[in-house]
Amino acid sequence: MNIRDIVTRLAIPAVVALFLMSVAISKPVFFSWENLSNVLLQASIIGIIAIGMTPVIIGGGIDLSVGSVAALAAIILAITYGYGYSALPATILALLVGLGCGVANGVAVSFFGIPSFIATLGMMGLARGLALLSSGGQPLSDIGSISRFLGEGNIIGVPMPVIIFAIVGVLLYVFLRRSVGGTHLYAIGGNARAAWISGVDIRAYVAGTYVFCGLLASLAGITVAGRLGSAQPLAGNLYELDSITAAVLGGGSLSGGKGSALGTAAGAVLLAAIRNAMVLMDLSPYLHQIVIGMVLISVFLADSIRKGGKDPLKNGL
Amino acid sequence: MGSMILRQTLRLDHLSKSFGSHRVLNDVSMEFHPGVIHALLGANGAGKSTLGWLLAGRFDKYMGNIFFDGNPVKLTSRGNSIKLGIHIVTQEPALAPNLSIAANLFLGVEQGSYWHSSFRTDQSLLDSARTCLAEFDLRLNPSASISELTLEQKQAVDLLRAYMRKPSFLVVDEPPLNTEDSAYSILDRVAEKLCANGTHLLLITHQVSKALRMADTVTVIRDGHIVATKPTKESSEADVINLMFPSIVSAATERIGEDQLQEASATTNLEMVLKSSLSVHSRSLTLRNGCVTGLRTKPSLLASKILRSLVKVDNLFDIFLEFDERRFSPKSPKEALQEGVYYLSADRELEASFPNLSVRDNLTFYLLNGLAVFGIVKRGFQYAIAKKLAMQVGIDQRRLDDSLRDLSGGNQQRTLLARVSGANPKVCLLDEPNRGVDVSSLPKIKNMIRALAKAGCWVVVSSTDDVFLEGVSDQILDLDFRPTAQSSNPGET
Repeated sequence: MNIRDIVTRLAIPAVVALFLMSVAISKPVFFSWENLSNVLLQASIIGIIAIGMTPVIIGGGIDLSVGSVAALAAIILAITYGYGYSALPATILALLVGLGCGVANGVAVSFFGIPSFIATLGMMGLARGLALLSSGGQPLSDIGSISRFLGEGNIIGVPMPVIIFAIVGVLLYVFLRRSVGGTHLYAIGGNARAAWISGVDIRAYVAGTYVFCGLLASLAGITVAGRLGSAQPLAGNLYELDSITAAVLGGGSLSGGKGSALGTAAGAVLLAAIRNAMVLMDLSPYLHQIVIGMVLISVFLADSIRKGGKDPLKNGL
Repeated sequence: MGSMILRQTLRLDHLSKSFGSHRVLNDVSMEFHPGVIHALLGANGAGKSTLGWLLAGRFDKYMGNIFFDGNPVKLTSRGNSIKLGIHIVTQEPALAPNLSIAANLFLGVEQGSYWHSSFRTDQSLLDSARTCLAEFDLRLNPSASISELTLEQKQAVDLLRAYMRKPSFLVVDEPPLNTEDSAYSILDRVAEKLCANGTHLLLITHQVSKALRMADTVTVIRDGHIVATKPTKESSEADVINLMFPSIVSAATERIGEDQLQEASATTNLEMVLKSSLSVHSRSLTLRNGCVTGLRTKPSLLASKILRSLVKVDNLFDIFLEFDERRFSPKSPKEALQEGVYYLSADRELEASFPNLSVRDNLTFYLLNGLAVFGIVKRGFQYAIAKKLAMQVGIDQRRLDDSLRDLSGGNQQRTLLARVSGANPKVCLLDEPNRGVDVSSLPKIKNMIRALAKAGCWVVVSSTDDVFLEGVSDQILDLDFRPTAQSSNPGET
């Protein structure tokens, strides 16, 4: 390990640590138990989506539609509930909508060969448009008890979003680290052609990652609606930015084959901590996106410098 | 245009290179003289390729100095090396697969005259490429895309591409020395022309006899140290092998006797039926159970195509297997595997290895489903089997958790071979299984292949290395597909 390696590896954690330390000094409340549990709660929505994003990224793809799918699922939930169906079928229908969007993404990418960036960009517009169209652009406040419980409820004091985040995180952890399917997915991300020759059904796996991602996006959308007390057609804006940043911060590589559940979870919590600190310091909310965007680019920059600076050959281009 | 700057001696002075705590090159001092073919010989993992890549500017950090004509130079980036005219041709051809042969040949040659090159018409590019291919008697269509070529042809194009750049120093890492019909003679002729121009040529290889035939000077590297540098005239093959592998034991490969061969053939035969749109190409081949069958074709690249067609990685031949009236003709590699037909590609990087997975996962890749309960892999079982397979091929057991990409090329190849042999295949198709494997591990590989056959597997091996093919096979099938030769019935030996 040379100096550059150490510097680039530690640069981002060091900057974040410095930032959080300066926050802690100026605003001691940041490290209070109450605030930290608040950070975890804020991390869990993006965390759930980022957990869904992680297998997509490991398989070498990307899903830009997560924010729109989250919003659409919540709107469908509210509309169904508004028609007089009870909470359970409405919630299940909302999850199925997310699943359906995932299936559409997955089929487009792995069976029709549309680049994931394009397919999910299209879905991003499509789902958002459907959400706006079906809600008439208005927030809908009839969201049912299940959604409210998922958003605001708690079990022995632990908020439900945190519990959902933990459950999906553990599921993904076990899948990636321990299961045959996890190894196959990493193999596809590392060398899809070799995986195909080795008899791995790469289409099914790749499609499956989008289905999982869509399902978790809708779950997050239902949870957000519960927290906000209404389904909003414009909710979930820029979730794709935050969730991709969390996955990449946690060691994911957009060229595929890399990423982990634990890393992504840590990335999501770190992002939430940064946001929370910015709120405590009374920084403009507009600044938040700027900072998150910069974090995303810095992670890539550090990785790129570590691999070999400006030389394109060393960055695997 | 390519530079012709380095006309003088290139001297390496106490070079060292480490990866992490592992020192790959240790105090290496060497001198290269213009117009001399210098062979660098060593076992897998001895540091040969690292030295080649260092000269090509892949590493930004190394210890020691490099002098050109007495002046210190820094080879810390590809750009630096290319400016000095140092080019590298590697085992895995670095070509743009979706571009034509012509486009690849001239890719990067026109550096510094961007406008000139972009105004160049496709026709003139094709013409120049055609001239260049003809110069080396390569019968290839310059407008064909690289992805249509066989590995061997890609290697030839890669070599020509380096030649077109008029290098002042050319590193050839693991040149395809075995090939008789195309690439070898091309390497010979490229070397001849370059040396006449005063180019330094460094051949990095573990194939002693062929290196001795070509090179003027040989240097042997072992565990990152230079152990000897001598003129070829003064070195015998045995001497060099002793230097490379001080502790080599000459392991004789166990062979099945002729009587056993007959016995085996009496029990179960597998017919491999080859069909092709041209009826003269249709064949029926008999594979004997318990035997290793070597497949040798003219032109040699077709052997690989036959194996690939059988598992539907390729579709050149309509081919199926017949076993006791039962017919196997898989529609995909997956179906072939389900029928127990395993294929190991010659193109390791593109088609066989999972560089990001651990050595353990690579070794047990085909076995994962059997090692799992409800889809969760039993780690203990997996380690036990991975250890056993690693031992069979001689992979250090402490490296089971390392990523495959951290292993040297030869060790990767052995890992992949163990992956196939460990899967208990019914039919095993090995495409150039000896690729990148050094002399010391060849007996291990041969024994492994033979053990596979002995365990009741039909093994078919294709290799352009005749010595290896004859060493490992019980029977060799020679197929001649050349239109000029009127031999419609294949000779068997």
